[in-house]
Amino acid sequence: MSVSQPSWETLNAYVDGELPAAEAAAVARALAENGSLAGRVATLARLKATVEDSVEAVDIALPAPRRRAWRPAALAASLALALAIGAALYLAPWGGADHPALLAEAQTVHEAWAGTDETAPAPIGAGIVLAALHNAGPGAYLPDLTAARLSLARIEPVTLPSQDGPALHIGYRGTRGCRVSLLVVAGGAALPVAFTRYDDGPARSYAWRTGTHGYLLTATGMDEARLALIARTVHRASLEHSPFDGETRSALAESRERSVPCQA
Amino acid sequence: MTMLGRGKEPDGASRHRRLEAYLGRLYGYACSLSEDREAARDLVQDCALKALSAARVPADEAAYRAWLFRILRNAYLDRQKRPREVSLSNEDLESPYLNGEIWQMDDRMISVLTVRLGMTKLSPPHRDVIALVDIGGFSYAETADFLSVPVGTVMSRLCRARQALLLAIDDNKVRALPTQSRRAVK
Repeated sequence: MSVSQPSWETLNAYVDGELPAAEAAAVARALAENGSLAGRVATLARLKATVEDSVEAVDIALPAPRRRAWRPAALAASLALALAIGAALYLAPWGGADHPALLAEAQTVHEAWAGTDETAPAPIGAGIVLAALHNAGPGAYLPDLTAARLSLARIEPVTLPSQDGPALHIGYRGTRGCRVSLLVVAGGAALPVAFTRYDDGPARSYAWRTGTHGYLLTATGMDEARLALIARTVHRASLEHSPFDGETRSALAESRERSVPCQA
Repeated sequence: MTMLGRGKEPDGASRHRRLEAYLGRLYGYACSLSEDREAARDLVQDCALKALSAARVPADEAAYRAWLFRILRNAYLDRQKRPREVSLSNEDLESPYLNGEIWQMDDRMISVLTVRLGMTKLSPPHRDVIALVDIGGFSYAETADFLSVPVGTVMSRLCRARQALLLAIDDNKVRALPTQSRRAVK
């Protein structure tokens, strides 16, 4: 192996922890002296970690080893969880009469899409996703919601009368009739910085603003606790730009199991 | 491989706990094989049932994991109309590495979403080897044993697979969306 210029295979083996100690140390020295090489290893390490993270949480029901009766402690825990969800819902900030104009526009976009009959939407390729991110401007966050059993069904740039900058409509479909829209608006100055809930007839929307973009998440007829959890998760992720952790993925998956299907 | 027979068998609850620790990775591997979420769930269910009802299970943890993955892979192959082992002679598996060209990409392009989409563009053998190493957590030697190929083949296939994945993620990365798809809200 050439220490000064390790091969692609060597770099992969280094990232996978497959090199003998002496060889790994030689690669480490080469990385310290060569920033470009270190960048390649960083890319490989990020790729490896992201592939592992890409496994979504799944609830696989195993046949029970033996039947167990409900225990008082388990029942109390379930009740406490239900109460916590209820309380979180109740304490969520509510928008008053001062709804931003953007809210009505987001709902128009959502309803126009929700009214379409896309039984088999065309698959969305990585190129489209990346182009959409590019169009939305630096700092835009596009969440993956497959942990909540919602798949990406639409990404389209939209022109909003109240906005000068670019806006992106991202549509997610569930397997039980649910559709969730996320509007990502460059700047989004009309939206509140704080995570805010708005009710408008059957539509529920959540809005917030990060340093670079405003976000409006809208759904109609979706279980309220489930939508609230999805909105809070996307809100947090849009601020941190990090993938959902295992606990969050489990909670999203559970929220689907606990909820009723969406009502048209 | 040391196997636990009925005499030393752990109880049902212990078997469940041991299996549950691998369900996530098994599901990830099932997704890489089938590309269909529901079919992947079914595969894991099949695998779990077989594992729980087996008369003997490997005692060693690494062997147990390989045993589970093999059950899953066999369940997948059994479901194919024409059972087939993954071809090893695809042309793209033998393509030379592209040195340097993919290194201009922005690392921020590598996200859960783009990786998942990129994986769907790979050939089955490439998806397979990445899933075994990065999702299954197998070493090169374990992967070689699992696939019945030499370790050198695993290394070169993995290198090509990761290169293909990076290229798939990087492909068409920055291009404007068609303007005719823009829609105004009225």
